[in-house]
Order: sequence, then structure tokens, then C-alpha cells
Amino acid sequence: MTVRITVINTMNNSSIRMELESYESVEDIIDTAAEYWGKDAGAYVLRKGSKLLNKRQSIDEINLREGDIIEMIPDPEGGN
Amino acid sequence: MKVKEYDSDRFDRMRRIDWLDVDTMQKAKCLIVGAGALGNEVVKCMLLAGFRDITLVDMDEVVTSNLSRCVFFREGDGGRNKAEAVAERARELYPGSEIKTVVSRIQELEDWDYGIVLGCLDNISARLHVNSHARYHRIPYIDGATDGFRGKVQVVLGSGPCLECGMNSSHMRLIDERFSCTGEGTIFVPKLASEITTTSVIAAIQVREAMKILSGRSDLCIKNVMYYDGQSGTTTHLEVPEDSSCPNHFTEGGTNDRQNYRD
Repeated sequence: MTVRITVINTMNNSSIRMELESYESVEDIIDTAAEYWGKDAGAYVLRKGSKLLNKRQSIDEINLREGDIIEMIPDPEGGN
Repeated sequence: MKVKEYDSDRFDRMRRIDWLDVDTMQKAKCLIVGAGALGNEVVKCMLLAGFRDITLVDMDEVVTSNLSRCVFFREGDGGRNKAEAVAERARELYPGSEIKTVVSRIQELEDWDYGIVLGCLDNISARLHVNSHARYHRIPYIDGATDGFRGKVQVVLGSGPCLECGMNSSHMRLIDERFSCTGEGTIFVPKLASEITTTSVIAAIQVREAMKILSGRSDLCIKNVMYYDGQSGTTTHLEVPEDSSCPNHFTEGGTNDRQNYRD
């Protein structure tokens, strides 16, 4: 089954819509986002509600539904 | 009673927080990895909070651009090792404290006999190294990170998700890019945006989480990661699912679970 979701890039508030099959994984969303926004995005994580999404989970496992919105959050690397 | 007797304990106000175990904090062996911006602030907060057995690891040297964020560095410190510069001045904050320095890469540290680890690093490779060793030895690990006005604190306890559980291909891509930049087996660390107020906030939260853990109150800790946005002044707490395929969960060999330090 196909679900259409929106991914919001919280760094610049831009968004993309994706069509996903239930067997696809969170990592597929991450790779598609990386392709769209380019590697300048650095490291980031995906959030749905109060949970950070695990890269190996499938669309089915995280219970992603039509119209859901997930957020891409930059994962800071610095500290020096 | 004389006034002096009322004022004999520098931790008097902290002891009024009933669950805070200052005595255990004073005895804890603490490892701080990184003596840059976060490392300076973490050492400052730890000494003022009563921690006094600290080992500080950094191989890097002080440069001029550190002076906008590092409370223990001075104009004349250029070229000095960061850990040694911090240790020399930080001792004044808490006489009786013992700050040992290790001037090397964290990958060369052999002794992992610590009660708690605080990560003040600037690259993912070093973070993964500390994460895996802390996890193996079951030492609570509190990782801090910043990028401009954004920051993050993740608490890794003896069980539950670790730092690597929350990572994905975007992190691995960065590691690959930075490793291949040098071609010499070392990591290229880019100059990321940084400013003192976000550094202070993140470092303070790291130390506060350490205080909770060492006081036997891991239940009060961030679960599992907190993202901070200094521009909007907001924080977001996210649960990190444990990744059953994470390599750190197959290598848990430590026998001493320090999650509840006092036990």
C-alpha cells in the first residue's frame, strides 16, 4: 500500500512530499531527503511525534499513515 | 554560634536539595573528553558543583578563535595543549580537586575505569568511539554537541538506547567525507559555527544530568535526547528506540552496571 507523507526540513522550513510503499524503511526517507536537500544538510534525524525514528524500521512498523508529517532535525556535531 | 560556623561548607546551598548526593559526586571518577568550548564549560560547572576527580582528554592546541568561548584560556595560551591549560586554571575554582590530563586522541585512552563520562567532542567518529567504550564498560555517558545556536544533549545509560542507535546514513556519510578529506587515517574536522551562550546551556545540562545519575536519580534524566534551539529558546525531548542490530548491544561485557551509581 502506498502512503503519501510530508517531510519538513526544520533548518529552512522547506518541505517535500513523498510516496512510500509499506516495505520501505526510514533509511529510504533519509536517503531521499539527502538527495533532495543535498549533503549540505549535514547529519540529521527524523522525528514523528515524540519519537526519533529508527533507520531500520519500515513504514509499516512506525505506523506511518496518509498525510502524516515528519520532521527532519539537524543533529549538531560541534562542541569545540 | 559564630557566623563563621554558618558558612563553613561551600556546598551548603546544594545540600538543601534533598535528593542531591554531593558526597557521591565528590568521590566520582569523571572522564571529560574534549577541552574545547564545551569542555571548558563542563569543567567549570563540575568543579563548582563539587566534582573533584576529573580526567580531561584532548590532543589539540589553543588557538585565538577559542577565546570567545573558553573561560579558562587566555591570550598568551596560543599553542598550549587545551587540556593542560584548562587543568592549570580550573584547579583554582575548587582547591583540593584533582584534574588529570591526557594529551592524546581519545582512541588512545586505555583506562576506562570511570564512574561517568561526559563527551565534549567535535566529530562523530570520536563520539562513536566514546559511546562504544562507555557502553561496553557500562559507564553512563552524557554527550553534548552544538552548531551555532542549536545544541543537543543525549544521555546513554547502562541499558537502553545508545548514541549509535539514533544515528543513520547521514551520520555515516559525514564520517566518510571527513575521513577521506585527509587520506591519512585522521579525521578532518570542519570549523563549525559556535557561540558561548548555546555552549553554556548545553554544558550546564550535561553536568546536571551527571548530578542526577550520581545521586541515584537516573529516573529524572533526559529520555533520551534533548534538542535545543537557542534562536527560538525551545527544547524538544525525543525518545530514541533501541536498535536491536546496533553493534554496541552485542558487546556489553562490563560487569559493573553504574546506572545507579550509589547502589
